[in-house]
Amino acid sequence: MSHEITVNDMKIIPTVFHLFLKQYKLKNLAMNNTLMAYLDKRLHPKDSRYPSDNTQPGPVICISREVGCGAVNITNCWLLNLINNLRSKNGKY
Amino acid sequence: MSKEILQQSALELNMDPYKLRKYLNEGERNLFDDILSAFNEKRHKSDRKINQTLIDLISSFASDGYCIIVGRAGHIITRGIKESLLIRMTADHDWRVKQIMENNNLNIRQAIDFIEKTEQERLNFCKRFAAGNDTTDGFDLTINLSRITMNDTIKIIHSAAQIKGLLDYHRSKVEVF
Repeated sequence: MSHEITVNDMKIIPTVFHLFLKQYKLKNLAMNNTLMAYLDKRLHPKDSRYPSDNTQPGPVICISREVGCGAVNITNCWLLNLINNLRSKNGKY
Repeated sequence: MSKEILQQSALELNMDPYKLRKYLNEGERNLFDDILSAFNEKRHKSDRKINQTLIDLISSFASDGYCIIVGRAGHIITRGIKESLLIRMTADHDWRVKQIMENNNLNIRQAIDFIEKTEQERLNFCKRFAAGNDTTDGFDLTINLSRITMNDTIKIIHSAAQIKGLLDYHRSKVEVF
């Protein structure tokens, strides 16, 4: 009895491929490999680690500074403040 | 992130980070320089390749979001991103000389030389990505640090980020349909 390949079968292929990778513990290796990273991105369109192409880029803050302004120190202080605020809000970090 | 960008770029280009840094801070290179170094160096990377790697890397960090990029021409490369806050920190020359003298334990002459040299290097770096535009243009916010305390600076940055909606911790990324 022949089995025709349907659209649903095609959908399974990425999942099977990923299971294959997982089984052979290649996941860590895959992260260092551009092709594997690309495939992982394609196979996990809903994974938050790999935002889809429809996602808006950012948010990002860019700081340009003159020499001697100590922008890195200021940024670090602000980040510490932010983390402390988060801690006090959530009770944990 | 600041130095991390350089380290990651060096890794992707298979170059020594120190060499890449030196290379990026140099002035404009012409085709002849490129040809010479192609014969000279074992693993030569063209100007275009290095620039593109840096642009790709910074764009990728910025696209992933939730990061602060200090320097590295981030304000030029991420100019097109809507959810971004571009800040310029400036200060009077004398104030900066004093800061450099205190922090780096230098005398006044050394501090002035250091400022001039580093400013020139940063300008060379930014010019690579500015495509002829002014590198000190297009900021959302410019802060003069010699006229304001560090705590107030932090408050201003925090408020600006809040106003632009960049600090909504628990929101999910908005999909565009």
